[in-house]
Amino acid sequence: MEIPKVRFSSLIDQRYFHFIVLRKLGDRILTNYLSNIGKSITIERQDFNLANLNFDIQHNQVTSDIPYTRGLVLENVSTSKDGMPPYNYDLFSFRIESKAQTLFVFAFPFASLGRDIVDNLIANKSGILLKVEVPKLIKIGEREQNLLKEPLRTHIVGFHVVIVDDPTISSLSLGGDDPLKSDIYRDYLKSSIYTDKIIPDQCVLACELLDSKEMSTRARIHMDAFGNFKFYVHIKTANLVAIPFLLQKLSSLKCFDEISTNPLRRIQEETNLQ
Amino acid sequence: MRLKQDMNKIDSSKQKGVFWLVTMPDESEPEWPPRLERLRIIMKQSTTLQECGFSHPYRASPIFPFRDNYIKPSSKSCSLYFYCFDNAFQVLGRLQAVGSDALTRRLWFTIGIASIVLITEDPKLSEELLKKAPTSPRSIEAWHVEKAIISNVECTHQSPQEYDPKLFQLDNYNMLPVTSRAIIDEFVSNIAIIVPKVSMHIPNELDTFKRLVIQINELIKEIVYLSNPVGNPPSTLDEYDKKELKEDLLLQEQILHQNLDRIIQVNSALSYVSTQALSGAVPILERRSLIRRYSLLGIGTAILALNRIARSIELAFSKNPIEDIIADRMKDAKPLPGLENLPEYDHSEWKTYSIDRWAKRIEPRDWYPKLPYYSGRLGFRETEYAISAAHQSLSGGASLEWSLLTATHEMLHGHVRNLLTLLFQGDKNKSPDKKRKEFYECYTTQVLKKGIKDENELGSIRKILLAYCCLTITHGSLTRKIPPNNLRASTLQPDEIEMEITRHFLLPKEEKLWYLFEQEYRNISEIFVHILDLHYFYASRIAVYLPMIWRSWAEVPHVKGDLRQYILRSLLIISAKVPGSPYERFNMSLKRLRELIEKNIKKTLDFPVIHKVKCYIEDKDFYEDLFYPFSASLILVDLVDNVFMSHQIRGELLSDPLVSWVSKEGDFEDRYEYRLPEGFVEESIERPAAFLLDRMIPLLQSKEFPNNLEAETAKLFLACCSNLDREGKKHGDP
Repeated sequence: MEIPKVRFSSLIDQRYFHFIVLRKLGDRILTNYLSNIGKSITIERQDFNLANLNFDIQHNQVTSDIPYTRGLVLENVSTSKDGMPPYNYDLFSFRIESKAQTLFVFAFPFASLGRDIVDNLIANKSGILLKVEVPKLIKIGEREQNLLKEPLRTHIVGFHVVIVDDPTISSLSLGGDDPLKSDIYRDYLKSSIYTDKIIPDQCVLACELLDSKEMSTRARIHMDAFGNFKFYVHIKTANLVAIPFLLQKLSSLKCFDEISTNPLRRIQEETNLQ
Repeated sequence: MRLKQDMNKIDSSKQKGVFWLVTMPDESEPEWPPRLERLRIIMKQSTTLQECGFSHPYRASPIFPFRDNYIKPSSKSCSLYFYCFDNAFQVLGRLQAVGSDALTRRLWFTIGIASIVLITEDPKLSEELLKKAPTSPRSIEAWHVEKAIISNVECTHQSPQEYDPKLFQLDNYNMLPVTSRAIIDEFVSNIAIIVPKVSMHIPNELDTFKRLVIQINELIKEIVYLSNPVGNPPSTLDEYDKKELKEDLLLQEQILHQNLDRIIQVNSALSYVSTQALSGAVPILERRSLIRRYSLLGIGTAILALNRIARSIELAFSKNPIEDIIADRMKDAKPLPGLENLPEYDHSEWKTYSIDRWAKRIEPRDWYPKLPYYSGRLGFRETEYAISAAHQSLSGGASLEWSLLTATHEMLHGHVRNLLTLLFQGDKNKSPDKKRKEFYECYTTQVLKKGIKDENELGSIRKILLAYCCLTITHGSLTRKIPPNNLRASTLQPDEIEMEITRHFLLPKEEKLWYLFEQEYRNISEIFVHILDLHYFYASRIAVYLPMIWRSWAEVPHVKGDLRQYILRSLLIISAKVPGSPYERFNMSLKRLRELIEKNIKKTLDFPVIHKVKCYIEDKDFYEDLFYPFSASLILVDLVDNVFMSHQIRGELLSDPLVSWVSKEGDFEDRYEYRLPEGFVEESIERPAAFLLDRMIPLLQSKEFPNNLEAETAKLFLACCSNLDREGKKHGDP
């Protein structure tokens, strides 16, 4: 299978983006959710039609007087590069169509910006937010073999659990090339996870997309149990193409569940600077 | 494209060369014999010794400035202070932080046992050094120089470590024939010379020689008994039948000769060690090093570095004695599952049969002493009693080609050799022919009557190895090619085949199977070594291991003549970290290999042979032929990866607080790092192999040799041998 080449403006590469996933989105037009944030323009849109998957990626830029970040980063997004408003924020959105359903993705460089946009989405009752069932994904990840004919290979390279029964420890993170094959997981955590005594609330999925020439595109998707997703955009945005394939796979594995609250309100690291 | 030695990259006009510290007889007052106190001191910078233009006999050693803005003595009257610190690396780290400018700009370092040198007109700087150093030096030698002539030499040293001479005595051997006595006399003489010096200069190594004497004593006891086999044999000969020992003259002679040969090997190693480790120790001018390029100060630090690496590896293996596990435990343990339908197999449960499951129930064994030395002739080699490194490592050890990390590969060969020997040792009371017959019958019963369980884990592992040999008849191996248009046809004659078990899986006759095993022994060993090397010494990092071994293979002439084998080896190494069916693993391994070659071909792997490899792995006609030997060998990869790769040993080898892992977007595996800044640091390096790996990784990014290769090599040696552990003891202390 030929994997399409995705290239967008280099302004937005080599950094992390938060994103959310929705279905049954009545109105995909992003500007309709930015009324209290700023004005948006569409920079570019690219459409891709593959055998079992069609998707488009749209790059928008919203200009706002609200500082959603701080320091040097704020200076970079400031139009006049002096840290003063107005600020230009790059956003992505996807529309992903497969036989099963249509999914939408909105991606933001800063969680606080995303929080405000998603608040508007929820207020407009537009679309159903989705989260990944992390425990289910981990159980599947242990058993599932990547199929030869699939262009996307995934495996779990990290997960986080909260411990509640032992008063001496509050959480545990495992990371590495293949933590689900580790002795620690197998001997100490697996049975507790399978019996829901310990519940993983975050995981990192490594994705590798192979085309017919066996060129590989990689992405690591961080996800939590609340519906937050995060990924690192590589140089020239080449790995954006992994997202629709990944979401299609998660959908086929029936890992999605619906949520009604704004997942970005649970992210603590970026504060509201209003 | 790179040429060997990167000749295109060397611009000799820009090379300033190293500093040479040289002594030679005073030309103005020729005197015979020359007195030590009338030697002339010269310090000269040049790329070669020849360029120095010395016309008289001289002794020289390269020395390296501690600071870039070093100060050389302005007059011909000054003092040179030579310090022998156990932990010179940390001392220099401390001085870098707290030493005065005046002091640090006059400091130099070497790979001799006197590894720190202060050259100054001001004696107070020596006092400052001693005051600020975190520990005291074991010895100091001061040369006071007037008009470039040594006028006075002062030596001070700590008291030698006391030892009981009886621990270094051998049992009585005077009844042996003169030629045997002479060999043992040589050993006695070597020990008599070495041990007092070791107690003085490197007392931490006394234990090595104690253990060596114990081992040689065991050999001597056996020789003495076999010369006149009366009474009970020593316990070390328990594996032999008592009656056979007394009556079989051929067996007696065989053991006698083997033991004498071992003592000869030890003597040879000792003569290297004696000159290399201790020449250049205080008093420096007493003895010159036989490695002439370092004839003044010797290579004591380089020897200690090699020793520390070998010792840390040997300690890790001794704490998890796989030999005892195979010999004592596996014969009573349940067989490996998933082997009922060979050549198909299911290794999903093999991890629970890992040797680690006995980790807490097996007592550590004593570590075996290994004598370290450098050899131009032997290069990197490991034997029962010694570990040698290439001579080129002395000046180029900080490069990928000559890194001391190569010694780890050699030590693993010894480990695997023991392992494979033990797997087929069987009942010690039976003759080899009888044992082979039994193994063959057991194997045929198992593969023909599917569903019959193996007797024990040891039996199931033998079954795997023999099944692999059978599979190579039709599938090929690292060294066995199947005709390209006749894949999976038998390479045996019809009269050599006992029967066809399943399609493309033949059972050869007994003699032929053992012949095949002997032919495939080296391939089996290489696969075992590669998988263990990957996990133990390269932190399971494919992205580091593959480019490094290809870099070393690119320099070896015979590799070019057999690229198929080395490409197959690479694919099998990668397959250890790739799940799936054989076909999936083959495709993904090939993909990974292409990716790694592509990533490095313009940098560290820019060699003609690598460009050829790239062409081959993109040529469908070539790589498709590799699938069958690859799939036949996968069972060995999975056996090592799941059963013989010990997490305990790996943990022991990497157990260093400075070891860490970094996740990087875009990589297919986490990155390894050793969190120690460049340069001299007052930190303890507990696992020198783990440290060396980190220092080699950046070299993969560059075509160039490291700047100041020789100075960087000296720094690495100092770092490797200055590893005080958390309790303040030297790693390797009992």
